[in-house]
Amino acid sequence: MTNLHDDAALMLRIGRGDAAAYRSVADQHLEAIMKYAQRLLRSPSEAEDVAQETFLRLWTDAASWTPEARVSAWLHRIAHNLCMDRLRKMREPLTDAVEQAPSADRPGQLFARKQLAEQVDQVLHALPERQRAAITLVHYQGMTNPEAALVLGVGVEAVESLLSRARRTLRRELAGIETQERGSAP
Amino acid sequence: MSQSPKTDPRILRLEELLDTHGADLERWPDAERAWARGAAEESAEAAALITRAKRLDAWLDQAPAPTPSPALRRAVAEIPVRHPHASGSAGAWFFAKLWKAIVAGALASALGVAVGVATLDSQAGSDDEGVWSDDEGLIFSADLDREVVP
Repeated sequence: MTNLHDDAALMLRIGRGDAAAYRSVADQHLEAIMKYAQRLLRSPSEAEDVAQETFLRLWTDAASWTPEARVSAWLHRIAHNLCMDRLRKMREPLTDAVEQAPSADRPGQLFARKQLAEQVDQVLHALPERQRAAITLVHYQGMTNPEAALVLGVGVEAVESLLSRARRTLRRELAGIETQERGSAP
Repeated sequence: MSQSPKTDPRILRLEELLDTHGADLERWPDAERAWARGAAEESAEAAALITRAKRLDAWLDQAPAPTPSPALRRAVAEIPVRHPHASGSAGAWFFAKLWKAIVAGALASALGVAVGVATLDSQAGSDDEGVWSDDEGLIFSADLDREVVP
């Protein structure tokens, strides 16, 4: 994790057209931005488009970054807004297959793990967009509640409310799945 | 008489905090983390709530985590090549900034001169008001006529 001082030096260099500084920041944040976009959009191709657009903005708009937030939060905010624009346009479930990393598991284990992953993914995707964004930023992207608030453009209390509602829904869904699994066990 | 876990305010508060901050107590605000640890040591219900929250986190961790494809990595790395900065390089950026500063300075100077001239004009106008008269204008015209017509 970088601090604001490192971020400021790199962003100043990017603003001056330093491609090496740009690549350093892109290497550091690409994976996180890709994961965030994928979790919001649930489409690898759409997520890749958002990631590209986000890093194009890094290159062209670095001068507009202010040291109030870490570059990570600034990039997530750009990606978040791009995702919201796309979600507004789509408003329909996407059917792209979710990419899976190759696994050394036996077929049975692989199937069970894939099934579980898909279940979690479906439950996450069923959350309202802002709740899904909040839980993704905090749980998966490792942000603090104030950082997530900055990305979402809301107050910390609003983020806490979104997280609370998201976790209650997820817990209820998880309990339902566990009950179902116990019922179907031999 | 002890309160039921459903109505125990300590349990209700812990549940609310777990929903707000998640199961990883290390990420909680300091004061609330210490309080939650104390509650978990004293109450089996509180400890069970933390375990339940950890189970939710572990379940969430099962969600697929895509990694950027090599094509995306390449496309992102090539952005500076495909979209060169208007300034082109760090040196050009410096000269662009210098040029902007020079233009800004010149504009400020021009504005200063214009304001100065306008102020002088208005002062001259107000000075003349005290001494200029229609008669003087006529006398001046008459003098001219005398010089032209011998």
